[in-house]
Amino acid sequence: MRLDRTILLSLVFVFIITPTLALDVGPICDCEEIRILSLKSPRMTGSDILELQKELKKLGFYKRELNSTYDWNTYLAVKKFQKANNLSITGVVRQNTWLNLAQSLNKGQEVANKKLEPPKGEVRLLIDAYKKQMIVYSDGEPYHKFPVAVGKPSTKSPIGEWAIIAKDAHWGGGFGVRWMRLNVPWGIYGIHGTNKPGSIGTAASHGCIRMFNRNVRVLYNWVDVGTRVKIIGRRDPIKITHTFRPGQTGKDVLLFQEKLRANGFDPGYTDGRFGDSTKKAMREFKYIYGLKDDLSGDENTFYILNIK
Amino acid sequence: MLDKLNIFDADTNWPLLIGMMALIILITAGLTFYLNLKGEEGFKINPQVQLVEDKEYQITYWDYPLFIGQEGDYEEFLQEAIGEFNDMYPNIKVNYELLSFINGEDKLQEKLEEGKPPDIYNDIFSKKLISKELQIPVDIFFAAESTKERDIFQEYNQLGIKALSYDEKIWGMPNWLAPQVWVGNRSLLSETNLDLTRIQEEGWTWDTFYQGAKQIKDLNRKSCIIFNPYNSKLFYQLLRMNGTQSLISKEGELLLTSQQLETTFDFLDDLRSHELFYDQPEEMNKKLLPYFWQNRAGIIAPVNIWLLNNLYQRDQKESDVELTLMPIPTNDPEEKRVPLKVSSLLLFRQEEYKGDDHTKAVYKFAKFMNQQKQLFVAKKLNVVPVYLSLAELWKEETDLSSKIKEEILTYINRGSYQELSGFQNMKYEAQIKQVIDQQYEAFWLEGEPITKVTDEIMTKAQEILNLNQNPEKED
Repeated sequence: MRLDRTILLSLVFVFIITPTLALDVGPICDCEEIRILSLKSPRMTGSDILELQKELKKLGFYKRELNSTYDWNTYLAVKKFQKANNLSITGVVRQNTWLNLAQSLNKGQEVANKKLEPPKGEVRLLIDAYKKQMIVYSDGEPYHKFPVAVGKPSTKSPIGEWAIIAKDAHWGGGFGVRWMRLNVPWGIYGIHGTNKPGSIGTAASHGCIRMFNRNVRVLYNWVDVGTRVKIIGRRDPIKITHTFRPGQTGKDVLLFQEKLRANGFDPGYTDGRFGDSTKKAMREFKYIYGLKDDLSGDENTFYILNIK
Repeated sequence: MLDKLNIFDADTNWPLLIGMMALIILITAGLTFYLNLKGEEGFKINPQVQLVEDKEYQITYWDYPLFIGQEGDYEEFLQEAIGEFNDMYPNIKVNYELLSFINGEDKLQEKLEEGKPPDIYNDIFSKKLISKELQIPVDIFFAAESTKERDIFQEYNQLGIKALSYDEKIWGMPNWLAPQVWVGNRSLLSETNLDLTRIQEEGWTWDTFYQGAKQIKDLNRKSCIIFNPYNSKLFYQLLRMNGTQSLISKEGELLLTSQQLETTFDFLDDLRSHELFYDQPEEMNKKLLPYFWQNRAGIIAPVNIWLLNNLYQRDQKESDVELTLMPIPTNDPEEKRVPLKVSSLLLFRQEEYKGDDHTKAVYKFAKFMNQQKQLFVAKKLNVVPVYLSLAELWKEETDLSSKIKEEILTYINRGSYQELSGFQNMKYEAQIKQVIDQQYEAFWLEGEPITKVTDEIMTKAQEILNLNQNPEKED
């Protein structure tokens, strides 16, 4: 009787939790879904049009200033490109045009045919936003490199030390394939494929890490939930304006963790969370400096860490 | 029935029985005498023993990551030092471990209880006497190395040597000295009637301090004195400057008196009731550094060497505030000495003794770290090496401003050490200090009356000593 009840309760629990998990790994991302671009009134604007103009400019089809607006000049450049590549000359940019742009930029040929063996050791990822490159480490040794697209200057990729917290193999739509969500506390960021492969090697995304679809399929099988992902690169200045307490999250907490580490304390991963490891570091910090009061990152702490 | 219980029947061989009993008594007495004699003689090492050339010695060294908050990695320094040592002694392998500042002492205690302490422990917290059974005095090696021409003992600042002396032995190799000071804001203090030069040369009384604190408070609405109520170190400093050199005597009696406690609490209470501190004493700790660097705090305390080094680093960058080191004020106008903190290398043996040659190998490494490597550490931590030739170099090479350097050297010259009262007493002192810590916080944060906290401390301190009825009488 008791066993039956336990099973029943477990089933109810699974029933309740499953949709929650599904929501968690769903296709919600700060990156925009791919749009069909065309000459309209009022004019279409956006970062995808900027990306389009950049690619056309690189290929010599667009010679005006980049203005993120699908205007007459952009329309003409698209048509010229379509004509040169034997595409339907519509002046409308769909997935096919994006893929051809990537091919023309020599970004269409991925390492697809080369069968890569999965790494045998513990996998860690380093994403270098300066070089637009992902290095896969196996037991601390570089194993493979993938080109990536990172966040554009106005929506930079989150710099820090993250972990993959969800994977979705059936993710898709306009985004490309596969989705690996990172545990960034201030937004939804992840690693995913793209249907705009021309953007790979550039800073074009809304902060997510884009990969060629074929590469992301390979990577997907190499990583697990929990795999560590470090992103390095430029970031916007962060101001610390308040006292930190255990449990808080944010970019300022991440900066605080970095300062603790630079001063010889170990706050665990710099993940913007004032969790157990950061508490331990603070305990040590307050003890060493003889402050001995509480674990908060307060003004005394900021002075010692040179944040003030 | 009773007959059956009678073991002494007529056939008993009385002479044999008496003989056997006498033999047992003799053997027991002999053994007791031998063991007592051995105990009295204690553990002995032949300091002249030579290292065995083709034998590999594995020694363990426990230290702390001392360069925390500073440029440079202590572990790298340590690895390089060990490498250098191995150039001279390739057969002595040093296995080091860097301890957590919070848990390091507990870990050492655990290992001591298991009889497996490290060979060398860097006693940065100045505990000095840790294990009567397993700690090795170093004077036997100093004596063995001394000659008519060269007296090793005299190569050290004698304050460091005396601070580690107990029972006619020296219980560690003194590394460095640091004066216990408070930090002053030179410009704010200069606006008062205090004669800074004189205070730094001769010390100051609690009354002078009170007058100075009052003048600082009167400078403007926001100026004040900041003490951290969560750190009882300040209370022990004041107690010491009020005549409490040790809490327990060598004979195991409580030296701490109600009067000393009351007058020390009274001093703090006077400052508090005259509102010479930050407005809300329970929040005062949070203002320690902000108020200092915002030119509002005339004096901040307590400060340890890590906080002091952080202040030095910032002092070089800040143009508005200039820090100065102030002696701790005293309740005895005749007292001009400055308490010193002494850090040292403590040597231990393991319960399963590894031999005199192993101990000699341990000594060789400790001596190398102590006599050759402490200059680098002392320059980083801005403390003064006890080994005199290093201290001379420190004076020339330290990066400190000349004013601060002079202040430190003045205080070292007037330095005083706390006389050691015995291994067991150190443990009881630690227990009594826990009681004082609690009551000190209650005084600040719960507003407990002085009589209550004093009574509580005295009662519990006496209880601690009574519980351990016969505290060590090691003389």
